[in-house]
Amino acid sequence: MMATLTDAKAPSGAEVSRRTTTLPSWFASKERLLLGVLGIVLLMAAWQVCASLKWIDPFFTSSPKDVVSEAKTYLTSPQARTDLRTSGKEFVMGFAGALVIGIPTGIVLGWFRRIDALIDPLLTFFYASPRIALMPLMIVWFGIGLQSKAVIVGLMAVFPVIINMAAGVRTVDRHLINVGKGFQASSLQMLATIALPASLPSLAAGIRLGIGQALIGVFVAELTGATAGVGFTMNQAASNFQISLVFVTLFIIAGFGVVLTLILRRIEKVLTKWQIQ
Amino acid sequence: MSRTWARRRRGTDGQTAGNGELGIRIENVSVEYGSRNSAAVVRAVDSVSFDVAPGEFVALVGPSGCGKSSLLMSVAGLTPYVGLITAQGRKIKGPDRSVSQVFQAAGLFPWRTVSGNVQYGLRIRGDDRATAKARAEEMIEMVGLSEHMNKYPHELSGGMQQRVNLARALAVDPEILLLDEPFAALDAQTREDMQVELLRIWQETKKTTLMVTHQIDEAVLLADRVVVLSRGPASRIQDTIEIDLPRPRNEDVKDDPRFIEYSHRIDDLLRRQRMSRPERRTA
Repeated sequence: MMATLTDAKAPSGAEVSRRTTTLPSWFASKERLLLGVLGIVLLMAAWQVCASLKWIDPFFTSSPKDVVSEAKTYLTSPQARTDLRTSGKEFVMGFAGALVIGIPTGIVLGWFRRIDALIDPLLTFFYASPRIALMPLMIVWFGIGLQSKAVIVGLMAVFPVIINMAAGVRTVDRHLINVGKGFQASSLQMLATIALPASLPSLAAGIRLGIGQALIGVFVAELTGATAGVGFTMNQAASNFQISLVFVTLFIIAGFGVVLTLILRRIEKVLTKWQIQ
Repeated sequence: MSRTWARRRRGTDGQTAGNGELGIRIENVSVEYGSRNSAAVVRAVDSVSFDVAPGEFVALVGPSGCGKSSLLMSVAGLTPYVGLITAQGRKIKGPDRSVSQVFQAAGLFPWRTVSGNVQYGLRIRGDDRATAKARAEEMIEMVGLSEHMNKYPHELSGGMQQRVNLARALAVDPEILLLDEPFAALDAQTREDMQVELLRIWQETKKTTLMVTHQIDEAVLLADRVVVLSRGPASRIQDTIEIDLPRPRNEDVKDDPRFIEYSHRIDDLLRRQRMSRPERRTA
């Protein structure tokens, strides 16, 4: 009796739950993403409505429609290709330099207390100073070409990388270090097998901050002595009141940052899959 | 007092290594802690002497804050001390190759799998990958975690984590095992299971073992001898109690009237410690 009752009920219950939960649960799992997209759509719609109804002057503010049509024109022009190549080179060279210099420097500062004490005041000084203001000096030292711009990008990005890398190495769990000591690991062995893996999440945070700083660097570097680049075009467009083009270039720079950050998140997830999610 | 209690029980009598004897020797050892620059130095342990004979299991109990863990850290070579500590006849000046330790905080590397954690000590001392892996598998099997070989620590329960910790300590086949309240962070049920598990593993491996604990029944169940420290600061040995219960033991030994008697005696000693210097009362 009991058996038949439950038997009869079980499949229908499963069916009902399947029918009622799949769609909402899909929404639930994507809720953040959907709401995020909705936020962007609402802002764009509001912008478009304000511009269309002339609540704001489209000459100064443009509108999503104008931005899209401007994007089509710009992105198919040879100018866009040159801009992207130029800015891309500056970013890649500067950022790669920041990683190549920043990661080892951070490791050394984090692991060797004396070197840290030696370098820390200098680091604080340069970190606190507006490095963008060094652009004129960089032009004097490295010329107006790619080199000076890559150096500024690198200078912007290198500090978050150094500081986070060093902090990660410095704050390794004392218990883990004791485990290494207990097994007679040498200082370098402990650095390689304990401090470095433990500070990967911290390094990832530093690189994420570095990407943002590097993009600022690209824009600022192209304000002076540049002949091409996304930042250069943005600056030119603003001086000529081509507001739509300003937004197009803005979205290119921001979109580039977002995409890089997403890629980095992926890599980070794979490398730190041992962390509690 | 001479070291008359240093009984050699397990047939390793008379063996010596270098210029001293096997096992652990602790002679007039004081451990201090406090910041290096400040004058406020606290003497945790004051001039303590006892031995752990080869193959012997000694438990160190005492009121909380008596410095029993500091003393153990000194034996591990991780905390400076005054006096003489030798392990396998070598003076402890830093971590010694004959000594492995398991601490309360699991101290597993979260980025290494169970197998990777157990291999750690082996890889550090230079074993090749294949040797280390095979040895780790053996150890993981011993602690009953073969099915979880490739899991990360955060995927394991607290009890399982401490099993891994134990396997890692034993993988390098140390002569001496130091345990610092290894099960203190576990719930009561898991702790009892782990005590029995440790008893089984210890009886299989017969390592010279020094364990710090505040669980009296744990001390009596596992140890050949229980060293009771007095209240800190500047604690000393208050009494040493031989646990004359037959080996091999299992959890049934807890029903033995002598087990209960030993537990009561140690409990009394600790209680008297708490009474002797009453807590400061607020006015």
